Amino acid sequence: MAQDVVVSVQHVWKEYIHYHHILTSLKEVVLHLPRLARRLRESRFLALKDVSFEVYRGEVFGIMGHNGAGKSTLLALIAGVMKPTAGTVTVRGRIAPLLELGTGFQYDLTGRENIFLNGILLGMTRRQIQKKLDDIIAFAELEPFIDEPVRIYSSGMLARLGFAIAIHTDPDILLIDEVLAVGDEAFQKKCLKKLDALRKEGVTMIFVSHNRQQMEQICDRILHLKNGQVQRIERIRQSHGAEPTATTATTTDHEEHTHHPTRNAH
Amino acid sequence: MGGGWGMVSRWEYYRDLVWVLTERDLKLKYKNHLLGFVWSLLLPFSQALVFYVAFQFIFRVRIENYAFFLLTGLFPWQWFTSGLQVGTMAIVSSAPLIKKTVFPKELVVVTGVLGEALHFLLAQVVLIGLLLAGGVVPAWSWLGLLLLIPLQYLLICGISFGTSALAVFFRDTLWMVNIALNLGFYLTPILYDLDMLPGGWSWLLFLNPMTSFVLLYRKIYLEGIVEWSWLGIAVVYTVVVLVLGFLFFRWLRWRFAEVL
Repeated sequence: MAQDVVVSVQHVWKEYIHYHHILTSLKEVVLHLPRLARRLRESRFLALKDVSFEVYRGEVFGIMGHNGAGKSTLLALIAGVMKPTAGTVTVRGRIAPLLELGTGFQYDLTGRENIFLNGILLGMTRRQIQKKLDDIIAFAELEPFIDEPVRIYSSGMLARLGFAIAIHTDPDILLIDEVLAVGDEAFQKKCLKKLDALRKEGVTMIFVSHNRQQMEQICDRILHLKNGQVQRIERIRQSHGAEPTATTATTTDHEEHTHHPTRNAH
Repeated sequence: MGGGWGMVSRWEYYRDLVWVLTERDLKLKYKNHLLGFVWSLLLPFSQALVFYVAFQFIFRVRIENYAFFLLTGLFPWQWFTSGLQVGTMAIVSSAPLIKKTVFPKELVVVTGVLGEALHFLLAQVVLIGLLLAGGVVPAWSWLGLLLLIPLQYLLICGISFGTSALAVFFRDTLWMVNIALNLGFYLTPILYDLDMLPGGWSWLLFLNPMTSFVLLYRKIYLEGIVEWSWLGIAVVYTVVVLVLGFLFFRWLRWRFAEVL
């Protein structure tokens, strides 16, 4: 049934222009105007080539590939921070990216202030965050430091905070980019346990990693990405979520995608 | 699932988003600052002092009540400057948020300028206190400020939409903005009055959108008159700049996450 598809990626191409190769400063543009057109052509880069797949509700879906294979681009497209050059990305439900190290946090603000800032950027209202504040702080195990600026936090503490915020936004789909590689082992276990509980509630998860072992442990299916192309979609185990009959349904031509409120918000 | 997302009013969400972003700007600005807001008052006052001494005692400009003349023009200009500087860097300085989360990107520009607008409002309270102490009689026309201040806010936002989008691609945009502001200061009737220009040339100053604003503030405060023809010019500039800036911003918006 098509209603079980929560993420649908259809014939997606993504081309980057490396502006900073060309437009380092205005001076460069003015001095090198004649060469600009040629350099613009040379600076194009195809990150994704005709990528198609679907993710089903309640599934744990992995995207694997080497550095530069296009994993992060794919994730950014699903998250809606970028638009594909061609093709369509359809997402049903509320999506929450895990905040990686060094992104999303304002280093001079306190942990508490960052919870509000990031919670709202992830789509919650202040009232909703207020209700969950204690849970978030408790889950991150940051009670003594929550009113200190996050610049003094260790990388493990930041990872915990990012994880705690994201899972408390009531997402339908969680995007997780190499995030579980950090933090201590005890916390990783706690995270995996929490993710398991969320999955049982029907939350869909998309992991991105190059760590094969870790991916096989947690994912139902793994998409192998190489040089921006789908090599194959491998089934690891029977999904816990509902799923249509086809096992590796990569392309279906259902045109009944409902539009996605998150994507239309901007 | 979905956490009652559909039930939460969009209004509440956007209100909170504006609130949290503005709060962030102000907090980041004043973290570890001893005097905080007072600095943003001291800057125009110290400028006013310098100009007052220079033009009153050295060049002997013959303008009545020159201190108030200066202050009524310097404060709006100071807001224009700081608003544009913050607005221009709004997208670049929020790069981590823009790369990672989906929200209307216009809001970082709008809230950055809003933080500076709050400074301006506080400065106006101080200014009004000074004017009253100096014997200026309040007039009904002061209510015109309720129109003029939002108008200037929109003008700054409009320009900032353009410059902030440009700054994503050219990091030297802020330099250009600062040079333009430096020249703009002298091309705005802040230190001098319109009628001090050689006959027939004063219209040239109206090529600068801030001219009509500064003149409007001054005439409202010191003469108690809202000059409608100037207000018309200010409205036209604001609308044109806002529309063009916003369209330019929208055109480039999708590239931000790729380039930052």
